[in-house]
Order: sequence, then structure tokens, then C-alpha cells
Amino acid sequence: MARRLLTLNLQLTSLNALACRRLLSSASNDDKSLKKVEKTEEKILQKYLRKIRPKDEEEKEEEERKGPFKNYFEDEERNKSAIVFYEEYFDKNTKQKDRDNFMSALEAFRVTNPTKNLYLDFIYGALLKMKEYNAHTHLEAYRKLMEIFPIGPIKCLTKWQRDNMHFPRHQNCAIQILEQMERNGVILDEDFVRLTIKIFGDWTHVVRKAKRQLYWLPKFKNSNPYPIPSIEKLENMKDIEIAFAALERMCMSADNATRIEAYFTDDLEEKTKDNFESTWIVTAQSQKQAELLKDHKKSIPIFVEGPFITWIRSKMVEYFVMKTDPDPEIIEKIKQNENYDDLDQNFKNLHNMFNDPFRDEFSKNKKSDLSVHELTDGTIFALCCTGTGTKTSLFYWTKILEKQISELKDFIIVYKIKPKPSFLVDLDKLKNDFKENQQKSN
Amino acid sequence: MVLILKKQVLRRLITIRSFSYDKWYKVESERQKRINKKAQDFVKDKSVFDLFKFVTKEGVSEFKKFVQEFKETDNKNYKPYLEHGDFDYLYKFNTKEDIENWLVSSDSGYKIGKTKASLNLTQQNTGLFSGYLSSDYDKPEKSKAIYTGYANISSLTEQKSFKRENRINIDQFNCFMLKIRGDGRTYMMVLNTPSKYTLTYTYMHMFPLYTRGGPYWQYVKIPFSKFFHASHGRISDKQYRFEGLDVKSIGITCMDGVEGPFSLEIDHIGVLKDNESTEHFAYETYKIPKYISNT
Repeated sequence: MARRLLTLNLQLTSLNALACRRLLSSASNDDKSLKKVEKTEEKILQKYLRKIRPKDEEEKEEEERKGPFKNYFEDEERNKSAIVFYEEYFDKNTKQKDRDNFMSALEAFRVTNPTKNLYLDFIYGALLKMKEYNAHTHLEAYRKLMEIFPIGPIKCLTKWQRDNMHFPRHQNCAIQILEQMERNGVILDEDFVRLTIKIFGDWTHVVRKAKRQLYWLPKFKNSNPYPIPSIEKLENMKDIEIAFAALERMCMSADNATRIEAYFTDDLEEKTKDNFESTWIVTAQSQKQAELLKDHKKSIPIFVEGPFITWIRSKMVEYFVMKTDPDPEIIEKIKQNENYDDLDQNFKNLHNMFNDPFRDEFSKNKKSDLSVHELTDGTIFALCCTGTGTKTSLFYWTKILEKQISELKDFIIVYKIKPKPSFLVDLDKLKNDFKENQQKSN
Repeated sequence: MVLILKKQVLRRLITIRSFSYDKWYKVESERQKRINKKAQDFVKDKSVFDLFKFVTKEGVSEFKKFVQEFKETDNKNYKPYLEHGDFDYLYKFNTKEDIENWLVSSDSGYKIGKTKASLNLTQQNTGLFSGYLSSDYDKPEKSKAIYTGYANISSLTEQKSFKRENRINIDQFNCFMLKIRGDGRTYMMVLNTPSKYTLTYTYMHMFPLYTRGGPYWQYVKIPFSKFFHASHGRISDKQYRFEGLDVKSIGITCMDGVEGPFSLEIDHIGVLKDNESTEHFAYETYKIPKYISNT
């Protein structure tokens, strides 16, 4: 062993000596090396300048086509023809962009291309086109996309293949399909998982993700305590029904006795008037709120404010509120209610949520009978949604309430309606206007 | 003969690899210069003078803090016996100082997305977390991000003496209690609970925070048993319970995937002891078969 080591050392020393000679020779010829470096720098600069150069319109269009899967299409192996390839099936041969046409395009690929040439490009392209065709919430469309993968040649047979991601390009494509399903709230079927096992083999990276989705997504399917209509139901609903569902969701959990009703302005008034609008109005008011309106002082004005925003899944609903300014008496009462126990009396330095009436009578006396509708912002009398959201439609709403509560005619009603919610305004525009005003003043 | 042959073979190998000593010398000399400069700067600016400054200025004040903490250890370790319904405020949003202890972050901070978010005081002295969630991506080249659109608020960790983390321990309580007023979206409540290794800095327990829209306030109660474990924002296969120990920060995220404005009004975040909720852990703790990696 010792001899061997010695010989190795000798060899290494000889190598080092070689390297040193080379180094010395290079150090003497500094001018040559510098010229080489300058040439290479020029080449790098030219490459860099190509990137900085302003993009043509054609290149911009190409980037839009690629979308978020930019990294996949920018590989050197992929030609530009691959992007045009999937557009033949979708854009050129179809006029109406429906869910049925999307499915027919997938079938056309199966029939016209039995060898399945460039099928990964086709799948990535189809995922981009899904939202245009309104098929992004449809399970059968995803299943049909998954069936494009061939059964057999991609399957993992050994443990080594299973753990180290056999055919990574194909598996990443399948994971992207599952990812898009998860984003759009589509829940898997048990047969879908079996299909992935057939294609890729059990416990591969694709199948693990599919199994996780099958396990976790149904757990949170019905966990919302304020229920929403399902995705399939919400697509077929009209605007009135969505407004009805939104008001039901807001009011019924706060006050059980709210009465929600829908009206049409065609039934209320004649169409011959000047400022007539044919819309629908949905109101929500409880019995307690009607009593509060009757007890209201006539000197204090009532406001109709809005539009405020609520969301039902991906739909935005604007609603209006009838309310007053807050009373200082009510604010004091609410503050007393929130301080459940005085901290001085409590040696634990803690509050208590549920007061025991037997334990201390002091806290029992503090409680006052305030309803849900009396808030620090002000007492709320009614809520509504209208089809147009204009001032005239809200004027009809007050007329509907006047029929139910005759004392509303004597009150002063002020309309505070914003053209748009304040946080939709562009901050950049505001800043520019602010700067211009400053320059003018100077 | 043998030696001559070996030399020839070696020369060939050098030519085949096309290893240029000029380039190597250029790169290596620059690298060594850089390392030397770094070391000199480190010695000059940081190591000696910083220690001297720390001992003179900050060290005295930190040591005073340490003495105070040592005196108050008895009060902190005192855990009273909690009854049914006892609760405590963790965070309030009623003054300007309370809101400054929260950190707002979004996509646009990393120059990937275009979301806007802010946390402000309202007229009724409550915190309003609002903004505009957008899924547009304006990203640099060669970034792996495909989907964008999130906004987050998270509490800042308090610091003990000598700049140590003061983590939240709510072991004796049972569930969270929030008073909020949202707009129909589902938000996510996030508890960052990393252990001491840096690999685990993204470990967190989370649960969705459902809101109904409208002007009415809502009290939300989330027991500790409902929180599921996640890392890098994805649910992990190995699940374990949130014990209420070593919470680095508490946060609320808006990552609904729906483009548009959002607004969430928060009054306080509290902790409650509820004897009626006796559930230990809400989810199953299945095991994956052997030789398959858990994630």
C-alpha cells in the first residue's frame, strides 16, 4: 500500500509541475489572453443587447400564446410549429366556443392523429384554451385529456423507476392537469385515480397527487357554515337568484326571521313615465327591523348607502343598506357588553365569555337587550339588491317599504351612492393627478 | 517506454478536454482576490468593531432586559386553572400602535404579481385588511412561478433580551376566537410553527376562515384540533395536532383565486377555553406504505 501511495504522489507532483509550466507560459503572454477575453466579452454583449432590444409585435403575440407555460415552450427542442399545432384544432376549425366544441376538438385529435404525435404540446395547449371554452369546471373534459396518454409505454415497473420519476416530462404534464383541476374546484372521481394508475403505475408522483386530492378535497366540500350554491348550480342561475342567495346568506344567519321578497318595477308603476326603468328589486327586512324603524326619531335623517360588495364564489354582488348614524348611547352599551368582567375584580387577569348568573350578579345587571342590527356604525333597517344599481331603482325600493311601513313617508331620506367602490380606483392615476395639480399651483 | 506512453496519453487527454489554462488562471486569480477582499472587509468593519459597539452600547441595555426577565419568570410560569369560558385577547386592532405590529405582504413585493394590499384603521377603531387581488403575472425571466395572486398579513415576533425570539405559548387554551366582518370570500388562518432547524421554516398549521358578507359582525370559533399541518403552503401527508406551543407568528391570507377587490374587517383575535369541545384531532393519521417518501 505504501509503495502505491508513493507512486500516486509522484504522479500527482509531475502533474502539478506540468500545470505550473503552463501557468508560467500563460503569465508571460498576458496580451494574448487579454485579447481573447475582449473578444468573448463582445460576444456576450451582443447576446445581451439582443435581449434588451424592444420586442416586436409578433414576439409579443407569441408570448401571449405561450401563457404561463412559457418555460416548457421555450426549450430549444420545441419548435415554433408546436404552438401552431394545437391552434389548428381549436381556433381555426371551431366558431362557437362551447363546452361541446372543446370535447369535439379532443375527439378530432384522437381520430386524425392515431400515432399521438406531439400529444404533450396538444395537452398544454388545451389547458390554456379551457377557460375560453367554459370547460374549466367540467370533470369529463379533464378525463378526456387524461385519456390521451398511452396506456403501457410510460408505466413504471420497478421501484427505482417509481421513486426517481420515470418519464419526467410526461409526469409533469399530468401533474399540471391535476393542478388546474384543484385550482378550479373540480373534485376527483375514484375512476380518475384508477386511470392514472393504469397509465403511470401505482405510487408514482402523479398518482400520489391524485390520491391526496381524492382524500382532502371532499373533506372541505361542505365545511362552509354559510352555504353557497355549487358550481354547476351557479352556472345556470339568473341574476335575481344570485342576489336572492346573497341576501339569504347575509341575513338569515344573523336574524332568522328576515323576510326576503322580490319585486319587478313593471308591476309597480306605469311605463309611460319619464324616468322609468324596468328592473328587479330584492329586499330583506325582519320584524325587529320594522319595529326599530317605527321607533326612530323623525328629526334624525335616514341614509341609503352603497354599493357594497359581497362574493358568491366567483360572482360579485353589489348591495345597498338603509341605516342611520350611530347613537352615542348604543355605543356605550356595546362597550359595556364587550367587557365581560372587570379586570380588577378578576385575579386571573382574564375575561369570561359565558357569564355564570350565580357567580356574580354584577355582570348580570350590566347586560342590555340590544338586537343584532344595532351596531357601532349605526342601526341597520333594511338591505336590498337592484338590477341596475341606479338612484331611480332605489327610489322604487323606498316606495315598496312605504307600503309596508306607512310612517316612512315622514322621514328625511338621503341617498349616498358612490359611482364605484373606493378601492377600485387606480392609485397611479391619482398620483399623476396629484402631481399635476402641484405643478399648476407652483 | 511505459513512462513515455503515459505522457503521451496524458497529453491527449488534455487536448480532448480542451482545458485552457489561460481561462483557468484568469478565473482563479480573480476568485482569490475576491476572497481576500471579503476577508479583509470582514475583519475591518464587522468582527472587532461591532463586538466593541455591542458591548458598550447595546450590551448594557440588553443585560438590563435580561435581569428584568429573570425577575419576572415566576409570574410568567404561573398558569391559573382555567374554567369553562375563560378567554384572553391575543391581538387587538383598536389603535394605530396595534396595527403597526403587523406585516403586510403580497405578490407585488417579490415583483411577480400585481396584487395590492393594505391594513388601515377605520372610523370605528377596527383594522381593515383590503386591496385588489389580481392573477396577472409580471415576472422576470426563468422564474418557476406559474400561478400568482395572494395577499397576507402576519404578526411580528416579539424579541426577548439578546435578540432572541419570544414565541407564543397558548397550551392551556382550547380554541381560537375571532371577531371579524368579511365579504363572502374564504380566507386562510395561518400559524407559523417552525422548529429550530432551518429546513422547517415553512411548517405551518392552517384552517380556512369562512366569512359571510354583509354589515353584521360574526364570531368565529376554531378549535385547535381542526388545524391541519402544511409545508410550503401544501397539505402534508404526515399529520399531527397543533399543540399550542412555539407559535412564531399568526397570519391571515387571501388566496381565493378569484380576481377582484377584497376587504376583511378585524376587531380582535382571542383565545378561549371551551370544555365542551373534547375532540383531540379531526383528521386521520394514516401511514403511507414503506419506502415511499412522505411530503
